[in-house]
Amino acid sequence: MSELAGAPAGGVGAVVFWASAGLALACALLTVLSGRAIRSAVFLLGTVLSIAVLYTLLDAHFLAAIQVIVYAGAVVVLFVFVIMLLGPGSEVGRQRRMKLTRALGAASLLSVGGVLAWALAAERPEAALPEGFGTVRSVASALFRENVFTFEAVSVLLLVAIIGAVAVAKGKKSQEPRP
Amino acid sequence: MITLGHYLVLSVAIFTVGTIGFVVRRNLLVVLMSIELQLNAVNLALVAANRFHPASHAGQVTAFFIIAIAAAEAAVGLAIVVSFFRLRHTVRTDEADRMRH
Amino acid sequence: MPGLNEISLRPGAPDQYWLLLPIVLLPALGALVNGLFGSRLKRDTIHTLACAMVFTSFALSVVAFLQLAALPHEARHLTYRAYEWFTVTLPAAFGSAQDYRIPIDVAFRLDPLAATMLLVVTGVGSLIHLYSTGYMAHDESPGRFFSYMNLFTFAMLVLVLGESLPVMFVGWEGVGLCSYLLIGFWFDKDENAKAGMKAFIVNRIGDLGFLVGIFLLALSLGVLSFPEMEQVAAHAPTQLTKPAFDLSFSLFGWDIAWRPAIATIAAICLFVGAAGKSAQLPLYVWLPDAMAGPTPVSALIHAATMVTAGVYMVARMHFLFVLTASGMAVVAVTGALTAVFAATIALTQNDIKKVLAYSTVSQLGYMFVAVGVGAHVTGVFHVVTHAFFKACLFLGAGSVIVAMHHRQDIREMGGLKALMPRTRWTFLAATLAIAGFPFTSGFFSKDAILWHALARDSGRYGILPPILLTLLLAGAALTAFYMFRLYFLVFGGESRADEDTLAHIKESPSSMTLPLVVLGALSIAAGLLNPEALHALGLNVPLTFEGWLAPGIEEGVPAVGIAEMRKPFELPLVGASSVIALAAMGFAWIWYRRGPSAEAERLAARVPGLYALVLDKWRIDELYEATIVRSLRWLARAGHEAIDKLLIDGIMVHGVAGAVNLTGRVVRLVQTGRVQVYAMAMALGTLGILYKLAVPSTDFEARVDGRSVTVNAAEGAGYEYRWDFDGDGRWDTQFGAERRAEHRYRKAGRHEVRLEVRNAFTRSVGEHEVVVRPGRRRR
Repeated sequence: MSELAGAPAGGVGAVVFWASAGLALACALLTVLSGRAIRSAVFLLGTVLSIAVLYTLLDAHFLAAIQVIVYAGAVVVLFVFVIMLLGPGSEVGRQRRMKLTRALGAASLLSVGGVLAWALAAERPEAALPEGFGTVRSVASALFRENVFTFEAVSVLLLVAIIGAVAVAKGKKSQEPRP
Repeated sequence: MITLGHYLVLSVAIFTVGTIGFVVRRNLLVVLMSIELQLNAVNLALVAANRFHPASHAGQVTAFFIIAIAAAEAAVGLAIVVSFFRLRHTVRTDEADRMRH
Repeated sequence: MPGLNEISLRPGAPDQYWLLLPIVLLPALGALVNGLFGSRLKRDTIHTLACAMVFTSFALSVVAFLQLAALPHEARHLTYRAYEWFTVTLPAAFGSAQDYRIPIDVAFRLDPLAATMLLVVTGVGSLIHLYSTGYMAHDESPGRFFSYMNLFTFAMLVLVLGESLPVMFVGWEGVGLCSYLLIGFWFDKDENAKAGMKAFIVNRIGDLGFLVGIFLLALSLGVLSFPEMEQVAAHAPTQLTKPAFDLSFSLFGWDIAWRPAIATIAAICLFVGAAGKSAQLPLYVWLPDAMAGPTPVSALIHAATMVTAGVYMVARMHFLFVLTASGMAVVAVTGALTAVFAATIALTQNDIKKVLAYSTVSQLGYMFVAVGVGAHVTGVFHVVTHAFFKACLFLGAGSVIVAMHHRQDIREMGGLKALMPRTRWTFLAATLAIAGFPFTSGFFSKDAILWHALARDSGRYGILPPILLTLLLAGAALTAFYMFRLYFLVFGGESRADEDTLAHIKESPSSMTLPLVVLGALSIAAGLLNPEALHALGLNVPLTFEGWLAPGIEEGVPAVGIAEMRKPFELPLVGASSVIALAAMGFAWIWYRRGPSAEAERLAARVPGLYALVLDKWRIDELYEATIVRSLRWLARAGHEAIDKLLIDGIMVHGVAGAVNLTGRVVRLVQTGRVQVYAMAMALGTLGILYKLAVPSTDFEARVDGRSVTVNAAEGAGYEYRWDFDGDGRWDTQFGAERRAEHRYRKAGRHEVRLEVRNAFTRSVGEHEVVVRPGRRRR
């Protein structure tokens, strides 16, 4: 693997990988475990940025940029906005004692993850990295040549989502007069 | 040496954490964030797999679309949260049990 | 069935006698038209159609009768075979060498006996149809009424003309149905509907006996059409006289032998059917209640035709009955007891139709005595004369009832002789006939029954004939008395009706009196068809009726002859019965000529318990209610509770619903409405699938065959296999999708076989097993 250009080789690459992976996992855990929504949002931001770093390690520079712009710049900010909008309503109070069913659920989900991880951790053969892999030019070529129809469909989807979000969030004024 | 297996195990770990968060948390906002975690985990797996099977950019392109859809999902989901809050004055998922009837 | 096949049973392709078809089907057509369109047709159209059908049928019957009479004695039968209806297959288990087939044809057969009944049914039927146009002139649903009447005529003709027992049974059930429909014709009154049901249900009991008799005959004879059965009975009587079963047993040293012949069992079964239809002793209770129907119905169905079907059937099956002395004794004794029993009830009744109803039951008893002692011709002759005078009586009663504004209590009548002369004279004629006034029709037919009851071969019956005769003479006296009591109370003395009714009493229209006149004349004169009593007086008049019927009925089978030693008693018997009848009439005249009798009331007051008992019809209905009906009702209620409520309602309906409900309640616990719980369930399902996909499993079996071993591994999605047969750590095959592999060993002995399975996730797992290749020398 080390002979591949820009591959996450040993040395610096491995250090970056382990650091980013640890940070991503830790932030993910904290996102789920932290008691307050605003903290969860901040930890989500940490996970998203760590994964962006991993993208660069994986020679997906364009995608790393998109990850930072869309996730960190839009999605997480949207979360923060909503939390601010709801104010204290965004908190549900401290989680009461973890119920047995919930613990069982978590445990079984962990075992799902374990099995999946065990299955996927097997060794596999690798292939050589072609020229220009992951660059903006090549990804753009894949996007706008081979997948242009999907790209346009996604743009329509986004438009619909925006209209839908506005419609849902606005509500019916006649029914719910603002206090 | 870091192999595809490392990335996939990390992806599974984040995905599992997201799933557990989705299932156990009672705060709608955190549940939505858990979904984002899951999507990120899947994206990571796709990009990593693409890196080790680099004949095309299928993985990255799919991840790109997933990011776009995740953004849409977050927008609509949060709109629903706001709407739900207006209805129930809380974001507890326990209150969202009208599907039973 | 040995012996049967030698006899030529099925006449090959007989000449079809087409005339029988319109005779039978015209009334059915009338019933169909009136039944379907009766509510839209005009009253006159309905009347015309119904009467035209029956009159045409009657006219054609006369033609058929004349054509039959033109044939020589031995060839007097005409058959119309419509089509093969169905085939009964008797399995070989029932005694024959192979499966025995009994084809049942829809066929009609006219012979002297059937022709006689045919003329009575269509002739009296025509008159009563005509009468009904007057009687039912103001009824609301004439279409329904005349449809039922025509349907009854059709069914009765099927009964009479049916060539085999099954076809006869169709008519038998058909007349029962029509009887039910017509008794309950005014079903808006509850008691009428109940009377109809009572008639139907009591008849079912009889029909069960009839059916069992038919089955028994089918089993033992292998044929069911009348001429074929008669041939078997004549040529192979042992088919019928062999014991049906052996119930001999020993009790305290007494050997009691009871081996009833098949004929006895079958005859008694058939007689049970006849007793139901003809209202004989245990089963008579429906007939008095049947008077709830319109009076023409009582005249046609419950006096003239349908109730005599039982007598007709016994006469039809004469070849069976003459083979069993005990069966005939049962018939005769039942008939005699019924004759007296019903007559006693008739003494006290106050409803004009009830008196006539019990008189009908009593007269039917006389007929059964006749056929029971073997005097079939005499019995059928009484059927005919009874049809005339009883129809006349009922129609006269109907005329009176219409005039009295549908009041039927004779205590409110009286003095009608001046107001309704034609009704009165015809009623008197019929009363004289039924009372046995000398030289009327009833005198000749009843006297012949008395004579035959005494004179028929006494060796078969022991002391039975004198007992029968005593009972019948008592019945005759009672009959003469209660009939003249009825006559005097209705027509004699002063009117006891209220003024309003009295002012409106008038003679009935001619459509009603014309049949009365015809029937009244026949009541007087019909006896001359067979004036057997005149022979006793030394006059040698021809016995037309006997000459017509006897060749068919009383020849060819061992008939029951007349005992020579009783011959001298014939003339005294004629005298005695005449004197008894006249005395009873005189007695009635003394008591009732001026209306209700003080002497009779004094007599009743002296024995109040007995009088009340007889007035209550011996409380037989109450007895049945207390024993049979109540126990059956209890059974029905138990069935209702156990089967309907518990099994069907409780378990099958509510139980299933409850189970579904319970399942729903349990399953609803899972439906929390929380998306997270659903997601959890989905994740758990995924776990199962994932585990199966991600973790490979191995299992293989090895089969050693000589020097080679064949291995076979378990299947899995995307699995690849490789084998090591000798356990040396080197894989003998590459990874491949093939599950089977084969290997030849060079050396005998123990070998370790190893398998490695790799799944799509490149996860692999191994398994090993030790196989033994046997050496060259085997144990």
